[in-house]
Amino acid sequence: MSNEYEPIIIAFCCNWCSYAAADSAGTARLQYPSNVHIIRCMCSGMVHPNYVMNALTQGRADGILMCGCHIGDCHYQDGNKRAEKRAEAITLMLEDFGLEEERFRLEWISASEGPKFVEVAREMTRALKELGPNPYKT
Amino acid sequence: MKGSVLIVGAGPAGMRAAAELINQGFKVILVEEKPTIGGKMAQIDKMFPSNECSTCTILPRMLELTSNPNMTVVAFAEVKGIDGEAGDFKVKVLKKPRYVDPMKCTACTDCFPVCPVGGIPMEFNFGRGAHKAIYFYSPFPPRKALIDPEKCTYILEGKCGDKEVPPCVEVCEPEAIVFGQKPAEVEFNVGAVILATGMDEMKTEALEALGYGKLPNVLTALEYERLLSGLGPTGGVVKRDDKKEPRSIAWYVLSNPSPTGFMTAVAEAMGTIERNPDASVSVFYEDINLARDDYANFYHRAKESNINFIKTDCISVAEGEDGNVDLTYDKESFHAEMFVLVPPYAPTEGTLKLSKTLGLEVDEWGFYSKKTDDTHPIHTAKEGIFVCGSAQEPKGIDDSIIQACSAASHAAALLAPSRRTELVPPPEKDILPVKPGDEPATLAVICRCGVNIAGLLDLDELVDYTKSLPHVKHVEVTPFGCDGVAIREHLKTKDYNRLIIGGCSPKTHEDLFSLHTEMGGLNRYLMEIVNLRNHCTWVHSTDKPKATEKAKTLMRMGESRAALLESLDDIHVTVTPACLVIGGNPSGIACALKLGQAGLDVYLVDKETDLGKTKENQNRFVEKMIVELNSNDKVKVRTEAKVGRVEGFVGNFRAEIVKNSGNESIDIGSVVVATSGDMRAESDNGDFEKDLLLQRDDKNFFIGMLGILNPLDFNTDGVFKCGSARKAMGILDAIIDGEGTASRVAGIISKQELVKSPAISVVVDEKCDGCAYCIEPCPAQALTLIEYMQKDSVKKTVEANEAICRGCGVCMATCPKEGIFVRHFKPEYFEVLINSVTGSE
Repeated sequence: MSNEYEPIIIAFCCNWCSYAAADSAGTARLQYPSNVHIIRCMCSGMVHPNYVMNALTQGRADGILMCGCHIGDCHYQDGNKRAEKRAEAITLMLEDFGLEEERFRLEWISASEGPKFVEVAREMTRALKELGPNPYKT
Repeated sequence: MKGSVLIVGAGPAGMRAAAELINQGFKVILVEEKPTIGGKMAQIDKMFPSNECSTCTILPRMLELTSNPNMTVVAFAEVKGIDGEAGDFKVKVLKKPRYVDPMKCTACTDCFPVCPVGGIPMEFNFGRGAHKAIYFYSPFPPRKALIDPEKCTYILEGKCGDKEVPPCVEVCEPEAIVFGQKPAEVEFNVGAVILATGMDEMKTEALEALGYGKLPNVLTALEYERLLSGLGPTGGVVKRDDKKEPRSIAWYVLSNPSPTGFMTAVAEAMGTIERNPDASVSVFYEDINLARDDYANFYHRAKESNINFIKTDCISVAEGEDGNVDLTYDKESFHAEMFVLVPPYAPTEGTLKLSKTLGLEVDEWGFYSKKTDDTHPIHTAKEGIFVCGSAQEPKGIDDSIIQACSAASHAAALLAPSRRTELVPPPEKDILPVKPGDEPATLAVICRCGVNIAGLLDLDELVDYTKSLPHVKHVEVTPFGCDGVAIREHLKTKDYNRLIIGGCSPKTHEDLFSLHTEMGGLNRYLMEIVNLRNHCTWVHSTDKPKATEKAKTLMRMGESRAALLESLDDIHVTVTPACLVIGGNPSGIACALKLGQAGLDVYLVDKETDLGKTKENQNRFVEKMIVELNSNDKVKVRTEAKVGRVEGFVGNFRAEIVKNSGNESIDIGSVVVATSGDMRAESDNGDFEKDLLLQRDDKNFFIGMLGILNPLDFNTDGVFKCGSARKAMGILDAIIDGEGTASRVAGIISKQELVKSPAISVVVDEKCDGCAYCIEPCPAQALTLIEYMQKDSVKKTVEANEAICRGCGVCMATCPKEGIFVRHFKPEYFEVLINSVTGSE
């Protein structure tokens, strides 16, 4: 087995669309890197920027993926628009903390887009591998 | 009189009628001819004109329905006859053999790989993609396998290859396969029947003349939807059968009396451009049919996004090179790499058969639609048998939903005296009291799930690891946790106050596992599901060591959250059983009448001196309704009146009816706005539109909740809109709108109390300083800033209204001080989940 660096990714997936997409990726037996760990939340708008920033600045993860329903599809009308605003703030904070912007990603993934979830998981893993470990990791 | 309704057809209309009736206290039997529910809506990718994802919208509704104890889904079955009369029908249903006992099948799929018969084209995907002789019909519920008797060699020849015992039987742990199954006739005794058998594409010779069935890469719109769908045979990437991704795609919309055809082409063209902005996308059409403003807007949006629209009534096709299709129109030519035909619609075979069986009148096409103006579109010639959705006439999904609600209100009005007589009583439970400070004692149950979990990781290693986790007192490996045996038996010892289940997805199994948890005597909110199957073994099935490591991490995460979980009880909100309907026009009158007929109290407020005064009410339908309204003692009509202040929330509003003779204050559980006209009283009496946070568009129509499935709902819970309050419409449509709204209202006010999930927002008084950042973002508008005196100073804080909060958590993620949280999704739960990914402190 190679000792290649495996980035740790935490994916916040909203209950209604993106969590279901990750489920359907499973049903279709699509394969993605095992370093992606999904945390279920009711809405992408439920994810406090602190969760993302703490996870990164305490070295808990190399990257954070936040997934919600496409704009217009939100189960709660516009929770994902809040998530979008917070994502902008998170991106600014990353810079303040000297973290690369690739370490955080916001994606809209609908319940039928299992393949998209897989693609994003693969792509983010690839990007983080290139980037190397989170500098806050001890 | 029976308190139950049988619905034929489980597409969006049938499913919605079912949900509405259950919500109003009736038992429902939903009969579907296909092995899974969802109808055409389950097959399409996006819905027009909102471009919403169809799967995202319908899947939660399917799961909600199929897990409801008052819902019996009879899939893969056909109605053979209906005897009796309104209030007391006997419906004969023929269940087709699945050769798999759905009560035993756990959907583990162990039987699929061992079945030697493969390559069977998937009907759900119109022949694209392949399955084995034992298979799932679609990705949708009920997720139970079935066997194709025309392909299974054991059924055909009595032998599976050279084996006497078929391998599927050998691997099926729950022993669900029953080769001896025969068609079975069952009889249901119900009070009313709703026909929602839908529509289909009309496959006529006109299609053949355009190359369908003759040339490769000529397909119908519905077939194309499967290529757009992420759950389809090509995983959402449009590909031809030769695997090539077409760069130029053309649609041809055949002449169609329904606007649905043209809109389908527009939606598919948009979906294609969204996926591949470089694609050349053209829509040819014989005539354009935009019956609605929102359809027209969607079409204009499409025109701006690089889609060519070409009108022609003379198009011919020829086989081109490399599987392409050469089109000639108006002396011009066009090379398409894929050609999609949008035919007009025909009734489904089910509709045709059933109308014959039941002896019901249909139009020249076979739809239940009757153009004579003395018949209500929802009624059939037989009292107590109603029709809704596209079986009545082709229509879009939102219009089907409104008709379904209307049909539900008709059935409810008919069966009102028997409401709640056939509901399944909630099971007796003996719940262990668990207090927040109690030391966690965790039971871990790990499902083998056939080979789906056990076969794809090192189970012994996972079990040993789980045993080593803090608080875990026992690890039980079970073949299938979903049968409830292991969960209930171990919890009954009362040795455990937390449960973690390493199994499948909470999306599909949370309700079932919650039931087992409570039957075992543990509060359902003390249970945590770890999605080992969908999020681990299935997606890392080619790497056992990695799957094992990931499973250990997921169990560690689940255990850490479970240890913090708290017992929660459902929230009960009392309901005032009455409704205010604003606007005495056809839809308001229809709404009030249906509610009155259902035995519910209604106030109908209109500004005219007499309901019969306005021109739109001088119509024989409406005049008849007014007569009935006046003789219904449940309906109180207030003329020459307007509405002032409305306070409160779903279940409990107080409204001011303002008249020259003085004001009247009424208590109601729900409000319906039926008119776009101004019904606001003079300014010193308050403004109900402002009080209820209602908004209007530039044409003065009310803007409601987003979503194709919510045409009658406002964003404010308990408040609904219909008829001319929504948009301009004809009298019959307005009546159906009003009746549909009556069903939405009855879903609230026919109950003594609303029972809600406790997983909603709670303010932490010590931390909240009243900064009010959370108030504006709340999509349910459930938060209010309040001030009170504390030790001689004014303290500001926020109050969350538990009757309307939906638990989305936007407030929690907005609060800079951890001053508000969502129960069951507390910030500390997220913290431990995040921290336990790495396993360090």
